[in-house]
Amino acid sequence: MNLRAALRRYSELVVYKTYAELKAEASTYFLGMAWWILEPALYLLAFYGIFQWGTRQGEDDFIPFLLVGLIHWKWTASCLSNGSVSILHARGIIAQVYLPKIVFPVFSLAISTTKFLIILVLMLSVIAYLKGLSITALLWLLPVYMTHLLLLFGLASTLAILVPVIPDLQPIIDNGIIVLMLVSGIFFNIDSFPEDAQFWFYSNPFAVLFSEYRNILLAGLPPKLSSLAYVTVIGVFMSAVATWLHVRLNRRIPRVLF
Amino acid sequence: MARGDQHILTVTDLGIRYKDYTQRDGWVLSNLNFELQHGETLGVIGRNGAGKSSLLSVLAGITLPDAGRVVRQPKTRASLLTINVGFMPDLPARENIFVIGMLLGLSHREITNRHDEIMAFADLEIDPKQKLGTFSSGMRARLALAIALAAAPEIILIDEMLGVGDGEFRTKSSQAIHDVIKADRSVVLVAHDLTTVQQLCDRVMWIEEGTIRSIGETESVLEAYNTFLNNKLA
Repeated sequence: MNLRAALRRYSELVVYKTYAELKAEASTYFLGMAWWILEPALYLLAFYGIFQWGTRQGEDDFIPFLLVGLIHWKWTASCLSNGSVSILHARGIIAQVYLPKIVFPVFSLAISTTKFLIILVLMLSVIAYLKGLSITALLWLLPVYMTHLLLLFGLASTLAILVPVIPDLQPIIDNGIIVLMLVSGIFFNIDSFPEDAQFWFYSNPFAVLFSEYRNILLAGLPPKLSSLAYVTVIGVFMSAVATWLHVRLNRRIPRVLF
Repeated sequence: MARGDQHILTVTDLGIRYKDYTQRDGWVLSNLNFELQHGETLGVIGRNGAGKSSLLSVLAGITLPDAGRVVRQPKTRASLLTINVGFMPDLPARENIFVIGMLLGLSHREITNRHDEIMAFADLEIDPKQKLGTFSSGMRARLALAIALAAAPEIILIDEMLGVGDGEFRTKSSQAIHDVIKADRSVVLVAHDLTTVQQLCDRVMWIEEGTIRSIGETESVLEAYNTFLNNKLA
């Protein structure tokens, strides 16, 4: 199969599988698709409750600050968590059909991103109501989402290929995602920290992305090119690592799984 | 049946090794050399653990061999005829046909064009909204085989699945596989049921202790294999 035919086949498969997985998931609950909104809303409410009566009580912009951070974090965590085990969980298919293993984290990313898009529309509506939102700001968001998606693809694909080979990575990833949540500036403003601490916080590309989302949506500022370039370099590097691993391990992974 | 001496698949010095396999220094299969001719049905027999399923996995391109190579003619696909891949119990038959068909290599358009044919072969009397999870195992097997046959490539690899479903469907599935074998397809059939092998195969390969003990005309290989089994039991 040539590259063009392969891309057409696998993109068609990703689109249909995503639709089927989402439909199947919605059909398992009485409230169906409503859970895609209710679940992050409950998540947001829980964290809002903790922080409203905690350290940030009384700050005016805390709701939109938390909303932007948590919703983008939820998407990130879902892509990393589900993506990292996507090949492991597809062992039934892998045993019987040849598919390039990289399609499994892509399935996972596509499902998490589709759910995120629904929440994103709601979040933008809330931000527009609370703070106002311009078309320009929406356009500024596009390159940030592209770099974010590139980074998620690179990381999730790398982890997805490594987890079947090194199973001990799985608990490390689970705990790493919790640590990442705590150091990505979701609940606090990194800019309020001393400069040397800011340097370390902003070496985390997710902290950079969350800061850019807030700058665009809450302060009406354009994205910083240096920030996008930093995340893009890491995203391209991780995607290259994932591709290299895929080339080396693609047809070795079934042996590891069984 | 075999058409001329045109090889659609050539296996040379093939070896498969598992690090956890304690015998023969880990080599489940070694030094396998054989060809599959265009339109031929090659039966693969051997006792449990002989490495038959591992061989099919390599022929399907799912895993790589540890030694030797498998060469297919250009633009030919080889895949397992599988009946339990990727079913989604929370979805009705239609969505499952699309998902499984696409996993097996069909395009959305091909499935759309062949949907009715697949449903007709599966012969299911169901409500279109009925979820697959409510199907009996026989009904699932019918649907799965119908999709798998629709998606079957030039080289079909079958691993002991002729007995799926109820009695009527078993006859139908055997007939369908007979039809596939008679059509312009090449088949590698792994089976324990020697009667099936005798009925369907042009040639038979007997694998014993990780290597080919005998390959050739069906009758002579089956006779040698039966003699071997009888001597083991004696």
